[in-house]
Amino acid sequence: MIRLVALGCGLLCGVGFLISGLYDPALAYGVPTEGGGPIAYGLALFAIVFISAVLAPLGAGRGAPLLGGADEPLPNWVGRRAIFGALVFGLGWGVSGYFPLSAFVSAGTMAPGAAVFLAAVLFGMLIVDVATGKRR
Amino acid sequence: MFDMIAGGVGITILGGILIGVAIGAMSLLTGRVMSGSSMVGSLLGGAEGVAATSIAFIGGIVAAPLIVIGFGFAQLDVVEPDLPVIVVGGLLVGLSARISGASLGAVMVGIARRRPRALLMLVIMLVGATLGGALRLLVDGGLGA
Repeated sequence: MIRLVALGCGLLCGVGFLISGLYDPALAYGVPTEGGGPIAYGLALFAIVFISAVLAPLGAGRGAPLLGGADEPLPNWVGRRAIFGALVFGLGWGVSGYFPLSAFVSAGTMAPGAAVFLAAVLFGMLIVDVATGKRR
Repeated sequence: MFDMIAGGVGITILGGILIGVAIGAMSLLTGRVMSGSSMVGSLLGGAEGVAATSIAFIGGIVAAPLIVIGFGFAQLDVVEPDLPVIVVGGLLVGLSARISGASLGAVMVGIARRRPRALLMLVIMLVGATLGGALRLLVDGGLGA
């Protein structure tokens, strides 16, 4: 059931990306499109934040996910390391126009760069894992 | 269908709302953080069952455009930067996921869980993205140039 819900959420999220145009790196760059460029991009991001925040009280105090299991923990985001990481993420996002979720959707449109982007993300994670001895 | 409705800020916001609902539903029902980095990362190993949820989610999000294109709703054009730029961007995003668990999905869920730090992270990410975009424009004058 949890996997079915994940599949449904993936589909819903994908449709959201498609009709908002957020999957397209051109929109992130502010290249004028029918969708309206950077202002539309910002407004869509704001809408995501707003809806996420509105939905939050529904889950307040419930303690556990409705389908069982436990909430996936979030990183602590404390100190300079967190700020550095956020900057690095932003740079990668700004330079390429992609972030992982948008690249998934673009990969589904057969855009070749999206698959390359996701492979590079995996490789970036592996570099750190190997360097810190978590993986050999 | 998508051609007809792709022409307005309102539609863009509607798309954002759908993404927000998906984030909220995923969090409320399964407890999973709907973050692309986390989904990709869990493929490298992690708690049992997490990778399966990730694969199901990735299947859904990749299937959405396939369905839209396959049923002839729209021809979706993606304007991508050059491959080396994409590789650099992907590497940076992958590194950041391991440095501090920075990802857009995670900060959205963080905001939903009322974590003030998540909002701070989002602001710093946007600053980084602005710098990254400016950097790219400086290097080659923008897309397709």
